[in-house]
Amino acid sequence: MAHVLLVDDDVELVTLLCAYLENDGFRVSVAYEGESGVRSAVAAPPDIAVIDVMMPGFSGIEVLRRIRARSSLPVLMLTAKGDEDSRVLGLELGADDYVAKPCTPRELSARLRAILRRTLIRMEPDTAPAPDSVRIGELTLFPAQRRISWSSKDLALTNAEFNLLEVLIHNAGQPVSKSLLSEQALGRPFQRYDRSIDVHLSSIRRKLPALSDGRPRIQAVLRKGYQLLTD
Amino acid sequence: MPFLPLGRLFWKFLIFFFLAQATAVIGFGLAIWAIKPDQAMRPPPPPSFSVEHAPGDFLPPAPLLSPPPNPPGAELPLVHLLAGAIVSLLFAALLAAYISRPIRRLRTALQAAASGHLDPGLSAAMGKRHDELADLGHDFDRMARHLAQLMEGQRRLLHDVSHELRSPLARLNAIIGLARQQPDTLNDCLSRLERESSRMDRLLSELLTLSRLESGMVESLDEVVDLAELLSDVVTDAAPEVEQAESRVDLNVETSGKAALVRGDAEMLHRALDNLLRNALRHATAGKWVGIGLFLATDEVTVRIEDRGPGVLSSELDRLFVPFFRGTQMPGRSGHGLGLAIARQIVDQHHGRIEAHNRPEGGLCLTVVLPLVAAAA
Repeated sequence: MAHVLLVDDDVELVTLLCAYLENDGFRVSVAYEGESGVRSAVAAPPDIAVIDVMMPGFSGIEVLRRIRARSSLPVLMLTAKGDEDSRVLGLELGADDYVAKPCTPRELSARLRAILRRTLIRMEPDTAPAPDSVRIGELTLFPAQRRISWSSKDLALTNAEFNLLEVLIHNAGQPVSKSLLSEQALGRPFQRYDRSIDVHLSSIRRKLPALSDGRPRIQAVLRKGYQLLTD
Repeated sequence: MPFLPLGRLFWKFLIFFFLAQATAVIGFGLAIWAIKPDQAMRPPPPPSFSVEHAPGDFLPPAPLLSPPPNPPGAELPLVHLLAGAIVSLLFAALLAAYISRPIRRLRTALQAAASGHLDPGLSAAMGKRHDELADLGHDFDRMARHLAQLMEGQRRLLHDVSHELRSPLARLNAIIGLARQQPDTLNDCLSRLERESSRMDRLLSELLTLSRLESGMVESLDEVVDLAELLSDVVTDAAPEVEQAESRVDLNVETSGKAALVRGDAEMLHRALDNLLRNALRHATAGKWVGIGLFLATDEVTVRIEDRGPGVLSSELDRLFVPFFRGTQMPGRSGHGLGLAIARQIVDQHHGRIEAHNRPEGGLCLTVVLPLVAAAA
C-alpha cells in the first residue's frame, strides 16, 4: 500500500482528501504546515508527498527545497490555477509534477498513481528480470537501480528527470514527441501549453556535459519534440 | 512632431520671444530717431561728405526728401543690428528652452503613465527649479505614487479574493468526489456542502461591505450613538458564541456618569465592535477570557478589547488590519481575515483610530478611539 504524505494548511480539505485517498487504497499521513511536513517527510519517508504551494509562513516551495536537499522522494505540487511562476519554480526545484487546485480528488489520485507506477515498480527488484544496462557513449542507464551515470559517475536526477531521460535514452538519436514523453515519463496525456516537460529537460540539460562542439546534448526539435544526440 | 527636433512649443516660444524683442528694439530705435532727428543723427558738416563719395556713386537726392530716410552719414548700423539680432535670438532660444523643456518632460511622463508605467521621478528631472512647473512635476509624482499604490492594492485584493474563493472550491470538489466514492456518506457530504456554500456567501458579503466602505459609499453618519449602550448590545448579541467558545467576557464601562456619545452610524459601529469581539473570542483559546473596557477622556472615548490568546508576532501587528491577513500564530484557519479590515474602515469613517498591540502578560489588545460629540449638554 503506497504511503502518501499530504502537506496543506487547509485542515478540512486535508481531512476530506485523506478520507478519499484512504478509501482509494493509499495510506495517508498529514501535516498542516510546512515545518512539520518537512520533518515527517524526512523522519518517516513516504512513497510520495503532496505539497500545497500556498501556505502561510513556510511556503510549499520552501518545503520542496528542504525535502530535495535531503531526499529524492517523489513530490506532487498543488498549485493555484494560472500561477505559472510557482509551477515552473516547483518543477525546477525538482517536483515531479503539479496539479492545479481546485482539483477533483479523482484527478489527484490518478496523478499519484501515475507517478508511483513509474517509481515503485523499479524499486521492487522482483518484478521482472531487470534488463541490462543501456549504454549510449558515456551515458549509462541502469533501469533496475534507477540511476543514470555519466562516465561512471551518477547523475543527481529527480524522479521525473530520470523518467524523461530514460525515455530519451531508449530512443537515443531520434526525436521523441512531447506527447510520448508526457505519457511514458510523466504518466499523463500531454496538454497544450504545458511547460513541465521543457522545464524538466532544461534542468537535465544542465546536469549533462555538452557535446564536443559545445551544443547541449538534448536538443529541442521544432514540432517534433526532443532528441538525445549521440556522439 | 518629428520634423521639429525640439518640439513645436520650443520653436513657437523662440519666434514669439524673438519677435517681441525685435519689436521692442525697433520701436525704441524709431522713437529715439523720431525725437532727435537732427542732433544725434545728423552728420558732421558737408565738406567731408562730398569728399567721401567716389566718382561713380550716385548721390542721395537729399533736397527732395524733407526728412531724409537715410540721413547722410547715419547709415543703418548693420553690425550692431546683426549683433543685437543674434544676441536676442540666443536669449529667445534659452528662454524658450527653459519653458518648453519641463513641459516636454511632463508630457513624456504622462505618456509613460498612460501606457501603465507609473514610476515617479519627474520632480528629480526638474532639477533645482522652484516654480509652478516644478510644482506640477511634484504633483504628478504624488499622483503617480498614489495611483501605483491603488493599482497594487487592487491587484493584491484580486489575487487574495481568487485564492480565497479557490479554497472553498477545492473543498467542494473534494466533498463531491467523496460523495461519489462513498455513497453512504452522502448525508454528511451534503451538510458539508451546505456549510461551504454558506461560508462562500459570507465571504462575498464581507468583501462587498469592505469594498463599499473603502470606496466611501457610506450612509449619513450624523446619528448620535451612545457607545456604552451599543457595547452592551454587542456583548449580549455575542452570548451564544461566548458560550460556544466556553469563554468569559468582562465588560467594564467607566463613564463616571457621563454618556459616551459619538456621532456616526449605529449599525456600522455595532458591526465594527462585533468583529473585534468575535476576533478576540476566536483567539481567546488559552485564557478563555475577553476583557472589554470603555473609558472616557475629555474629547474622546476609548474602547479596549483584550484577550489572553497567543497574541500576534510584533512584526505582523501593523498588517493586522490588511484584508485577508491572518497571523501565522493562528491555529487552524477560521475566518477570512476581513473582520478587522472592515472594523478599521468603519472606525476610519468615524474619524477615529484603531490600534493593536500585544499585552505584556500575553494576548492581544485592540484599542478603538472615537471622538466624542462636542458636549451639547
